[in-house]
Amino acid sequence: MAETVETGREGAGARLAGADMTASDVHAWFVREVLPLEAALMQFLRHSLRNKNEAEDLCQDVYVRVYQAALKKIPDPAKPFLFTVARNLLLNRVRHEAIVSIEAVADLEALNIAKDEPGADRWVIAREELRLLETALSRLPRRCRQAVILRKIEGLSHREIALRMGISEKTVDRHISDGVNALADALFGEGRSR
Amino acid sequence: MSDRTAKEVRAQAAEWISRRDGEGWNEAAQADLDAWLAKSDAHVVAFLRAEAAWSRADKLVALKPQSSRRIAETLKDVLPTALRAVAAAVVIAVVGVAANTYLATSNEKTYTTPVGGRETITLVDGSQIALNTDTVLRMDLSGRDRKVWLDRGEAYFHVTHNAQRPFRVFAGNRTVTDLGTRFSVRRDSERFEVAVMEGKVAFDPGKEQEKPIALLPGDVAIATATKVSVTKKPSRALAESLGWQRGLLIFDNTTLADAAAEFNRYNSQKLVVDRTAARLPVVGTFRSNDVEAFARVTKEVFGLRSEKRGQSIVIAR
Repeated sequence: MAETVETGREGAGARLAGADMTASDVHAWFVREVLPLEAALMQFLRHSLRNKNEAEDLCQDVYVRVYQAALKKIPDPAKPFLFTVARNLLLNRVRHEAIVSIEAVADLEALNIAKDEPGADRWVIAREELRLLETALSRLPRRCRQAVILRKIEGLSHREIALRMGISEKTVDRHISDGVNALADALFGEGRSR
Repeated sequence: MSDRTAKEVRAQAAEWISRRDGEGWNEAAQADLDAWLAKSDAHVVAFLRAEAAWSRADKLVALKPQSSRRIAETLKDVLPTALRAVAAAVVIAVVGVAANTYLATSNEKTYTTPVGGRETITLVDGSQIALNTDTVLRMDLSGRDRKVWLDRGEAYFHVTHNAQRPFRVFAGNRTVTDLGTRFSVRRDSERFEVAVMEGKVAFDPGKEQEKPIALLPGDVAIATATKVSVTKKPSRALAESLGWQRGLLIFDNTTLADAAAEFNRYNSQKLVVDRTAARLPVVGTFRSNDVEAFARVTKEVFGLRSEKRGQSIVIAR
């Protein structure tokens, strides 16, 4: 695809709807190459940030920048680019903080950890993934877990789940969306690092 | 940078995925979704992430038990049963080669990890036990009680609670009984420690007159030959103490001497800290198997000397 892609906000919806091949290429690339790096990225961010709670937000910022860059040209390989973006965002932040902690000194070490850890950037093999999913499932609140089991394991529709559980479809939607959230963290984020 | 936190945006993305997954989805809803996505690239990346996770969760179907009668039962009694079935299926489908070991419940099994090693065991009831470095643990699931003996080392337990089948951890004359929980137990030569992350455990220090102590989340009980003490730790500190499950040692104002002692549990190359440097405070996260990186960082930060002597690294001012 040689055409340049406009990166204006307007385009995003149309691109996601599949009107533009290049955009869906970028989406597939993002899912395939970037998301598997999340565990390593989060580890790096948590290690480097004084306030660990900011890691999630920063991760999201890194994603947005990497995604926007990819719409112009897909960075290959993805990993060094992702970590360069992360480091630049961190440095920006450090410049605004007066304190330099011993953790900041250890950052270079951390970057090596994150970059060199064998296998950290690969999709876990199938059984490992199933284990992650199962663990994530077992940690969901009871009703939420039940809804996800009925949907994904038993293949019931939201309406059937509502009937089965004696709750409204709206509540089923809410249980499922909580489940989506928890499963995403388990597959890409915290759950993956061990 | 982002006007909304990642958490909020991700929650919204998950809501869209859930709505699209339901029956009410139509063109108007799709148009609303497109409009939401067009508003911000942050929305797009969060959506891609949630979408990928939800579609990968299709793999969960592998946990479906074979017999349809069992499915019906599973659904009727909802969770305890469902999870048991799920856990059993996981063990059968997933563990493969090691299945014999994990499924055998008739007698005692011994699990060991070498210095620097770690291992996770999944039991048929869905409980998980993670063994840290240099640990010996025995297990007998054949009786009514689920019994585990920690002969040496450290283990983290995530127990599927079952009032009919108490889960007990024995360490010498001490006993920890699970009452629905995540907790860790560590046994060194002279010291025994129980930390509770979630739920509740009963800790019996094994002394004649003393009654078992109930431990709640955040409680850390430390027992030596002569006394037992219980302290409260913030959840962050507890989480950090479990960094070993990811191969990490996390220090937050730990003295250099204590940090070195931690490293020495994981490595054959031992750190020796001179008295002059013993009390320096260490903050940071390190790979438990990378002693040299740790020595290098402390050297740079505190301006210390470090010197290799045989199998040891000596750190001094």
